[in-house]
Amino acid sequence: MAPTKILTCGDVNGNFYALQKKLNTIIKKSGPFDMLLCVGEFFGEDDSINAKMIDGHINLPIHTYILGPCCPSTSSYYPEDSAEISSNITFLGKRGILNTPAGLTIAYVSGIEGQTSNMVQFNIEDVIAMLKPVEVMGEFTGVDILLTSVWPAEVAKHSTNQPPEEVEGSKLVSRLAAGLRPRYHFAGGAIHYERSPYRNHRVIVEKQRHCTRFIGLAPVDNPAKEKWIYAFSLQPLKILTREELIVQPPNSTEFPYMDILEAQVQKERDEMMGKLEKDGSARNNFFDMETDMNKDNDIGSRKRQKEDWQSDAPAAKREQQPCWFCLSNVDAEKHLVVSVGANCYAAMPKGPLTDDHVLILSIGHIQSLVAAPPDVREEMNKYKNAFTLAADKAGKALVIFERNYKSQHLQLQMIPVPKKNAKHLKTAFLNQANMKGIEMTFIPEEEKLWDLVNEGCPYFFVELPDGSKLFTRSMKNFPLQFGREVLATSTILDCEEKVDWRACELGKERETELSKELQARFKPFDFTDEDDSD
Amino acid sequence: MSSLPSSSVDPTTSKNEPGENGEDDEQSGVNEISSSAINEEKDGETDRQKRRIKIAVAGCVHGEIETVYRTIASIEKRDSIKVDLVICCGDFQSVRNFGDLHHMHVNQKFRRIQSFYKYYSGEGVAPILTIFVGGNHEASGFLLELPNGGWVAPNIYYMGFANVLDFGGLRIAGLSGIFKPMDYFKGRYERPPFSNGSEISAYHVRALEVFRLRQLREKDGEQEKNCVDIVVSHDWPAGITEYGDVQQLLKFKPYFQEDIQQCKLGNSSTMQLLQELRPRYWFAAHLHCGFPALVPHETENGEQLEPTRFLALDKPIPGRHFLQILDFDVNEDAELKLNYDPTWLAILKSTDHLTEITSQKVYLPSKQSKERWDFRPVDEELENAHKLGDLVVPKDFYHTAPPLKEITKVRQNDPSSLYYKNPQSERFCQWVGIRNLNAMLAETTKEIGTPFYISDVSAEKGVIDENSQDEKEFGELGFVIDGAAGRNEAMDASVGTEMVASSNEWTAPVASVDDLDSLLAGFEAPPIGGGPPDAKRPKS
Repeated sequence: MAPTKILTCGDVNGNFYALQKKLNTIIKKSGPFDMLLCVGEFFGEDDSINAKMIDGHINLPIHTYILGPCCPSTSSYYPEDSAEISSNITFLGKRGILNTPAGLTIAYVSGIEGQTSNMVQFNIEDVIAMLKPVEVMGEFTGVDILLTSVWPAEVAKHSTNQPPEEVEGSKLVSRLAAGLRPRYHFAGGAIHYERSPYRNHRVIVEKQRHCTRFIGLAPVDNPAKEKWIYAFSLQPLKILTREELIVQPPNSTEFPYMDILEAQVQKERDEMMGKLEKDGSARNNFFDMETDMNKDNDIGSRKRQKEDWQSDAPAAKREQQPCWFCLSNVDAEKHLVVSVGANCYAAMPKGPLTDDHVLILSIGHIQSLVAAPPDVREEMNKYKNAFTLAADKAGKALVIFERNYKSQHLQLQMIPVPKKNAKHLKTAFLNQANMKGIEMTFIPEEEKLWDLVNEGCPYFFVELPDGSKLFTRSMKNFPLQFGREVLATSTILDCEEKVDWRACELGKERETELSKELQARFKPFDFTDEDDSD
Repeated sequence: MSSLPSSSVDPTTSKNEPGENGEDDEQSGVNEISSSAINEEKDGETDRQKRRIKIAVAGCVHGEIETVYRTIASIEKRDSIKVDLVICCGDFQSVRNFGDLHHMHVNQKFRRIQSFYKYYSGEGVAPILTIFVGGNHEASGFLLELPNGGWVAPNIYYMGFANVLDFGGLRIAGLSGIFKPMDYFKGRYERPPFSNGSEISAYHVRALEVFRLRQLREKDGEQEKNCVDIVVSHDWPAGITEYGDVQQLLKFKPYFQEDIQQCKLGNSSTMQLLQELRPRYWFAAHLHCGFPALVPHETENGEQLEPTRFLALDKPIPGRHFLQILDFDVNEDAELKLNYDPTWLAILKSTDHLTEITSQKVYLPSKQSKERWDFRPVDEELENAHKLGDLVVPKDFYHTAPPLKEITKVRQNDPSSLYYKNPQSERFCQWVGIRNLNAMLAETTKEIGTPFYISDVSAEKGVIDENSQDEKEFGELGFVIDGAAGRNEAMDASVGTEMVASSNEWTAPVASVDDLDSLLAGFEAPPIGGGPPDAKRPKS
């Protein structure tokens, strides 16, 4: 059977003539197409043009399938449910799966994410309803195409290419895409972006599946001349053999939505546990290493989670919460900042283990060392060297650890320990890990952390003064305070009361004092100073 | 205690003797060396208050206690010495009868009655006072009658899950079992009849036991010191290999490589204990090989403390290093009896609420808890422990399971032993004022045995009739070596050739440790066959 030839376009916004012209050109060049799929808004603000389309005065040369409205102003042009709008245009309806005669399955959800479901919005129930048939189906492979009016959230994660500007997507769409596993996912409402294909399985751990190509299309006839139409041909997955289906393109990347799914699971668990507390005053979580942790006494952050979950604001809004660790948001706590470089900065943590405990953070919002670009890693390394020298001068050796688990922003902890206790470090870390059932692995000298850990995977990493590096990816039930716990033991820092940073918060005055001292001690080693003076 | 560093062996003077003698030692074998070394050292010693005693340390016994005694006796005879105490580092296999064999987690072919039952039944008497910790091959049902320790036979004392005892002023701590992470944080719940693998988890070390032992460390602000003289455990503290000659070890046990690298060779919780208690000696077994190591200790002010001399021993196989005889200095007037340690009794009492019968995790308080987390005894608690009166361990051995008088076909098919309430546990717990874990465990099953000493009075006159009072019954008799003399002679010939029970050498490992100088200095320091003169137990 010949593959189905398909065209897909972004928001038409009533630019029917431009669309018509383009379609004619393409057909002239490449022959007829079987269908046109429009993601995003179809109608525009001009009532007269809209009317011409509905009345059949404008004819599109290809049978066209459109999604519903994204704003109330255009909703009046759509019928209540899926229907033919004119002889050649089919309104797909709010959500559903279209099976084409050729055997393609095309799933779609129109509108923007919201708390309630109506003409212009879809909500969690819609997504659950879409996924339900998938869950009950024993051997669900995926759908051929998914159409959504808006982008999924975090789609660009792990991609080798990034969109020119950040697009705030819908987490519900991410979950839908994760569940439906489309071979092509088209979304409108924003810019053009063709993501490198992502795998729908975890390498080695799960059996191989097909990849998904996400394609965001710009609005029709946009002034920036961004790509807004996409042509391709497709054989339905149901007639493909497994081998044909799971061919992995060479540039395929990791699945981008794992974090969203995990966060969701965690939220549902929290909710079910009914453990959410009502009390606890809102607090500033700057340098709170456990902003997301689910710990009994972590009232502040848990409260925040709860508010997020229960508030009526659309989910997308949650994304706008400022990250406390991004330097641009540091204002309230800038007295903690010790040194600022080009890509990174050093600050004193709240509740430090020692007076010379520092954090090195990326200035921009970067998840982890593994996810960080080379220039950030390079500067992190400069800070490491500088603080190693500073520690050495004080008769101490530097321990560095990073926990990329239940944290949002790259932060390296640097803690100087007395040199005479440094020899206990390796045994202490390994023994504590063994006791807690954590599998720690040495990183061979010639290898780097980022060679061993995939971006987006949670991990714990520690580098000891003798240069040996240990890491673990077994983060199930990982004790969030692990690094502090080991260092606080009697053989190393002997300050077990400080394992929980909250127990040793100092108050702003003392913090200011200490970070000034830190600054003064660090000044001779601060490479950022030199740069400034040059 | 502050006198300890100065009165302890001066490395510069004692260096040569062990070195020279060490060479001799390898060729001529065993004990002459130690005695000559002792003489020489005594010349240099000024402290007339001290006398030297000998402790024989055995690795895994594996039911061969008779062999251990015979070997010691032959050495005693040849070298005209007298061993005062035997310490066994686990896999003791105190099998009373064929019923107990069902409780022992071993391969079927090793399920043999061996020699301990004779000492239980009274057929033989242990010639030397013996203490031991449990390993992973034990008559677990029997040992579970004595969670806080007790006599398993006249003159043979099991230390319980964890314990601290005083012998002639030497403070000896013991920890039974081996480390397995999945059981480490659980409570105790195992007892016969065993089910669902509880015969295995029964011998896994629990966090509570290590937690209690940690309370022996000095108080905050106090000068650091060697808090105990000897620690006995079955498995090694994981990470101890860093302080010994790993390459040598790997020559014989190449498959240890990975575990050593991952710090999984041994107990993950006891290395910290070693660093905190700084025992002068630590003895272990389990891995069936000899391995010495030396862990230096330094105070906050940079003063050198006595290092921990770690020694792992083998099992009783001819030609293997399974026995080590060491000299210890005690006060001239020290009585060579087992005593309870008042600090330990105070800790048991103040942590009694943490004892729980559960297969779930047990919560242990930490510095972050609101409740008490530091159980290092305060003065009042110590006083109360002293008020308990005589701290001598009473000789109150009882037969709970029936002793095996004769090996017959019928007996060999005996069913699994029942669980018994042991009067020793009851007496001890009542005396200290803590709950009796033995009785609590007994309440979890209906299959409780009627103790033999109640059901069969006639057979047990010698031991039982008199022990309502804690007077001596088997007391002095046990120290008479003559009783076993005939056997000793028979063994003698073989000892020199086959049984290399090397007596007194700490072979110096080549260690790759930062502080190599102090380590090596320490290595040469320990005098042959014994510790430094001051063996007085640190007072806390």
